[in-house]
Amino acid sequence: MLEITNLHARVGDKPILKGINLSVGAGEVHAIMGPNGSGKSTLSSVLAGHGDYEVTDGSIIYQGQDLLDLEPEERARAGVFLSFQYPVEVPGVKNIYLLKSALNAKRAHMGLDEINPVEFLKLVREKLTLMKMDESFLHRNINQGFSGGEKKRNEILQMQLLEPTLALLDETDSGLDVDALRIVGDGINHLRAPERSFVMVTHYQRLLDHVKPDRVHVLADGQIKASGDFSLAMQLEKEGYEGLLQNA
Amino acid sequence: MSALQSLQGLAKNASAAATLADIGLPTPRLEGWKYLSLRTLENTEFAAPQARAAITALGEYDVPGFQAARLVWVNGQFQPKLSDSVDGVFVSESPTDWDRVPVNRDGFCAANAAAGNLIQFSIAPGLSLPLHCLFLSVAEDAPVAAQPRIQWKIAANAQVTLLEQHAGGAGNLVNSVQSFDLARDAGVTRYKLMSAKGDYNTAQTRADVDANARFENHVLDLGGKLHRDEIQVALNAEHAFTRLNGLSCVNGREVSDSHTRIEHRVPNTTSAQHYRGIADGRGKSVFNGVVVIEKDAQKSATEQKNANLLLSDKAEINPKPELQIHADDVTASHGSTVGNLDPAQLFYLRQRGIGLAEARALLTFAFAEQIAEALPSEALARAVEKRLATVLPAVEVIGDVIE
Repeated sequence: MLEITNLHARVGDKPILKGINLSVGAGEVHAIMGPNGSGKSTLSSVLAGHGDYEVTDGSIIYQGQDLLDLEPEERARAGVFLSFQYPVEVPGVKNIYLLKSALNAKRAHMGLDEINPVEFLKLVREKLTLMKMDESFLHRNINQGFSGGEKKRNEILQMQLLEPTLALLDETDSGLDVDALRIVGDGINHLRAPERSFVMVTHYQRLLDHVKPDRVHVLADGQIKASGDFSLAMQLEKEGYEGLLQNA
Repeated sequence: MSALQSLQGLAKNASAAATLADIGLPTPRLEGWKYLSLRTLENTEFAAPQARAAITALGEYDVPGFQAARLVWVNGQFQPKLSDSVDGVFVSESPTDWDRVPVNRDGFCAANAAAGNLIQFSIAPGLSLPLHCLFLSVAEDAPVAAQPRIQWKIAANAQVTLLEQHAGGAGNLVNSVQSFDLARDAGVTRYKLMSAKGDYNTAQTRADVDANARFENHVLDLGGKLHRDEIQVALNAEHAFTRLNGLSCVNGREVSDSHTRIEHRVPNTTSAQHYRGIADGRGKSVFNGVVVIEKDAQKSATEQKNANLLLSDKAEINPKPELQIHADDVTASHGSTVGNLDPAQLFYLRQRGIGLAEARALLTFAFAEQIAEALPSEALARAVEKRLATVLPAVEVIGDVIE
């Protein structure tokens, strides 16, 4: 599904990723954990094609194609979805327009016609119910005036609708209260499938209690320093990053 | 013959004509006119309007959903026969001039006064009604100087929604002066819809607002050869309120030049402004917003927002907020920005699969939409959105959004 080899990336002159190697198989859930400034968010941004980051070495192969050759929108249409750490507010554009355009862009890529309005509304309502959001969210401007929790739920709502093949979740648990965390966790679990992979970037173990990863990686100073199964996350919770990285 | 000479030749009022001869037309050396080049205008000879053309099909200027009695001007001349008469609206063609816009304010004000087209509309107390003022600019043998001069007397507690629409655009000079006098508890919501692209349009508006009265103005300028819009509002008694909003979209070599001045003269007066400009091509957009809070106008509040989107290297934006606060217990805020589309918003939309061109079109529309969606009239909001679809890039995208 995803094969990252010796990935180096920088912002301006500052190297952030310094040789990442990561292999994610179909249907797997990987957690990338690490202290602040380790490069976690950079990794998800680079995968999504954010223009602020320059890849200086290495490769990212996604479903057999070189991801670095694709524009952000091409990656999205090919099934790469990023749940933003800070979902962007877009005043003047209604949520429903984004949902519809995004879905139709993906359908066009798959050679399908635009979804018919009735079917679309039915589908969206179903997803709204799942995320415990009411219909008024559709007619509000994208993320404008949403609380932190609402923004994160709106991200997962979009993910539900777009059914990506590779979901990148960047600090999706940050700023969520216990109830919202459960809703978001359920929303992610609901999408788990043999053909769909997840890369969850997180600082804390909180989300992992809801969405249990197959693999856990610890990122520090732009490199993966340790990998293991779920027990690594538990060890991390006990020893902290410093303790674990010293022993690694 | 120069524009100035031709305008002098059209004068019916000798003293205003003398003022015009004395001060001439404005030049970029004047602070308030420094971004405006009047060269082509200056070299045009303007004739007196005859307004003989047979006008039909006025319905084509209607805004769907906006039902209103119609008042019609053709090339600056009021047309009683084309206009509806409305109970409670009194028309006087020979009123006493209030002269709240001084004749010597600038050459255009002098030329307007000299042309002598003064007309007054009085709205009866307590009346509530919408009016559609249609200013048609039609072609005559040569470019003409259309110079409407209007006094609006809004009696106590009357509420008027006024759609002022400029249409046609036959290469004329449309130079208007309007004064609004709002008695206590009265309200005016005015929409100025510019859709006469080929004219030189200069406008001077003055509003005097009494206690607890409200003057609200929305200028919707979606491009034209030269649009100059100047508004002055005096908040003369407590709890007077004004809102001045504006949207301008210029492209090609179009010019939109907006100037506002709000005077808080007494305590407890409130004003709000929100102007947005989009400049593409070699277009030029100016916003000069002056707010004066006088010494005695304590507990007054003013808010001024101005945002501009610069879409091309050759386009030009000139924002100039100007707050003059002489009282110490007031609430005042202002902000002015000029920028390109927000890269974070662009990336967000692209990450959802929306292509770059479409994302750009969407965000440009969204920028303008923040003025359009705030219009109190739903019908006008829809009409403006539809017009935006014709002047902004990627019509089909916008068509989808406004459905």
